[in-house]
Amino acid sequence: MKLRPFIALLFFGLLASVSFGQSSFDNPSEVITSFYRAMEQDDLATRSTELKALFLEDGTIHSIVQKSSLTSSPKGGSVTDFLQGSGSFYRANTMSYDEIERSIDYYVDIATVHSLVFQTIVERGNTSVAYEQMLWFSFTMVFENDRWFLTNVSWVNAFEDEDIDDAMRLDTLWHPTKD
Amino acid sequence: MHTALTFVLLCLATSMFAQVPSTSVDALDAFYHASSKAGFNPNDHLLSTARCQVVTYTEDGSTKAISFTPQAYAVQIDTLTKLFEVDQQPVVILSRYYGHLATAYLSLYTRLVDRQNGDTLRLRSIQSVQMIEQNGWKIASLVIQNEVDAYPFSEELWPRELSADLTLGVGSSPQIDAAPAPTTDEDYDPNKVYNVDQLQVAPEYPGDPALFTSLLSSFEVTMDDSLEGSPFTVVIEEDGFARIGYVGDLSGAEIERAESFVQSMLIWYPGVHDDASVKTKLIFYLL
Repeated sequence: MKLRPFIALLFFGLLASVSFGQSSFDNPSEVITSFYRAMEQDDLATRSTELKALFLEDGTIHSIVQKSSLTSSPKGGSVTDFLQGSGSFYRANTMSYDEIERSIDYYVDIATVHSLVFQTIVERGNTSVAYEQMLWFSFTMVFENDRWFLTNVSWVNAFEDEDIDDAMRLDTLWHPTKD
Repeated sequence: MHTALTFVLLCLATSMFAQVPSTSVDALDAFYHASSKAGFNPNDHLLSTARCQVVTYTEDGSTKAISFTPQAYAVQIDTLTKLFEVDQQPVVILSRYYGHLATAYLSLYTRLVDRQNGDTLRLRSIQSVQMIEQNGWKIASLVIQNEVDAYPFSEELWPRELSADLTLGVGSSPQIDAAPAPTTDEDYDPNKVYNVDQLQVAPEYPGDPALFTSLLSSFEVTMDDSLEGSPFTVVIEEDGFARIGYVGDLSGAEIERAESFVQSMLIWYPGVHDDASVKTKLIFYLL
């Protein structure tokens, strides 16, 4: 009799695991791959479930649409804000992501991931119309409850004035420091 | 008159521009400077949509990230600065940027001086920052991970050249409060092995002192010379690595135990003499 609650919990755990594509998210790379897969989902409910499963409750998303080195339109907010704000765009277009390059910095329970991706946007009403662009994504994560969660994702698109490969170039700055 | 007016306007314009950091790194510096003082205004440094996450640990060792809105983070800073004099200094910043997005993954040195009793706590953390330029560079996300004793920082984020003068821990520890050794005119000898009493700063084992105590007890080793153990020496190199030195009259099995003890050590903070890391000899005793 005493085993019943345990068995019920076990089944619940198994079901939950299956419903999120059997991902354990025990390494940062798995979270990134799942993030792009979630962003490709056409169905809002699926996209919402998959994205929210990757973020901490208070996670945020910031996106920058940059037209030139001087003009840009940053937007930001919660995951729910993002889902609501991008709904009409998803209704009109399908999106796919092809990751080109990834680098990870981490220390114990925090990680920062940088990723260059090739994004393809196809109009639903006219599949012959497609837009392609490169994006730089920057992710921050924390390790909690035996898995990695996203705390924030920010991205910016490539623009003509500057090569987006520069985004992956690391500048190491030594700071004069004294006690 | 016209020239004077132009000059005044120019000065005003210069002072206005001086308050707006021109690069993301300048903005980061400004943030750490401002958040070390009372009256920190989050709107000057953080986007309204930003979140600050601090990694904490529960009693059972599990992780819990605590999230703060900019306003809530400012309240934390306000409380901290009432209790302590705060000084936060980035040591190494690993920076990336493209267009109006910038990121920084950095090591930060923090010194807290208790306003009531003057006790000082020095600690370090890794912080991950994402910044967006929107009327000046502002923080979109800040995640803070304080140092975990078992995982010393890498040389990349805590290079000796920058951190030799930075002590860590509570100010009452002898390593921090030790009076500087009298300076001499002797020539620098890179091969010289110093005794602890010749140093400005003694070598320090990283992390919680309990970690070192546990290491000593697990190999039945002590630093207490009154316990009549068998002595051997360990040299802490300039880069913090430990190697076994003089093993005296130890038997083969005892030498093996002493070597295992040394190999189990983490990388030390090396001893400092004349503002430079030096080799230091420590004496241990097998029980």
